[in-house]
Amino acid sequence: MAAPESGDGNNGAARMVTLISSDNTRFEVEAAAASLSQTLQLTILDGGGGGGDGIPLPNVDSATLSKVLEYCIKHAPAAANGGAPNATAVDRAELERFDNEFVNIDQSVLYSLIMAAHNLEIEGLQSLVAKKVADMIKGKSPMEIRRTLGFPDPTPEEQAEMNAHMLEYGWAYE
Amino acid sequence: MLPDDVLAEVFDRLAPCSLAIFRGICKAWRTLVDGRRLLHKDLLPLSMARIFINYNERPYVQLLFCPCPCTELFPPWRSVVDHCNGLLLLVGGVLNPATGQWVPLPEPPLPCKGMERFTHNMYLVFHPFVSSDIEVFLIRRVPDRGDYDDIIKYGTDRW
Repeated sequence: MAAPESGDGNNGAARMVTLISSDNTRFEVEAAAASLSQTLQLTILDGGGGGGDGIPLPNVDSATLSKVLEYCIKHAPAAANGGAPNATAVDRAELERFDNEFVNIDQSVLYSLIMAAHNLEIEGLQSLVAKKVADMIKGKSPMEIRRTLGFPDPTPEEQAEMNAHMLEYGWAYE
Repeated sequence: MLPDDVLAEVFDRLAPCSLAIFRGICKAWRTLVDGRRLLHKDLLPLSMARIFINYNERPYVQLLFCPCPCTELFPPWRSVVDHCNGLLLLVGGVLNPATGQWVPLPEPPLPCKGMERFTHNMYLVFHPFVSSDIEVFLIRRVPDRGDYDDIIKYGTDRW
């Protein structure tokens, strides 16, 4: 039987869209994966990004976009299942393993990811990078955190404010 | 450095414990956290409005100290069972003495089989690392043994 000719995107291969990074690299991905981005979702629903056209992303460079898409492709099947209520424990464990590995990256890459997750409004990725940020400071003193984040050593005035904060919020440091 | 809007989004996803630590790192972040009310200060023990005292031999509590002239919002016929972060657990409910809000407790669950004869203690429990809710724990007292083995969390609500 011949396949129907009209391509409404629901037959055969999954619908693909093209995204164009700020440095003009073209990425072709499944629409379902790109749609994890709230920002892109409407454009894609309107039929954008297909054919020869691509969706330009002037705020995201190719290295970051490649990383973001790696996340989207991995998470798209679970997202398609409505947050995967019927996913098996194995699937969930695999996604968790992927997520942990995914954010095991340099701080500069993490900053680019935070910006991209914000610009593209990818909820899961935003939560994941926030978790990573929280993990980065776990068990560290304010001074260690400043050094981790590349802050200069505090002035005496800043030091006094930090001490006052620690007194007021002692429970957070327990 | 990340723009404020982006940083606020990250901060908003952090547990209060982590957020409080970030607030202490530099002035800009303190301003951001406070300016956008990201840290729910109303849940945190940051100031003292008054002191109640519960003498062992008296059936109800008394207002011992209040720094401002205030009308008493406290029902004087009830004794204080526990307190946490400015909230008072009284017999039958939880009171916020600062606002006068009173939330009655639901009926406690039936004890497990074999525990019917034991009395229980009730506690207000809050840890910002775990949850922003303050919870009521009911713990049955097992006589002649050091452990409590019927811990039931039965009331959870936001006050």
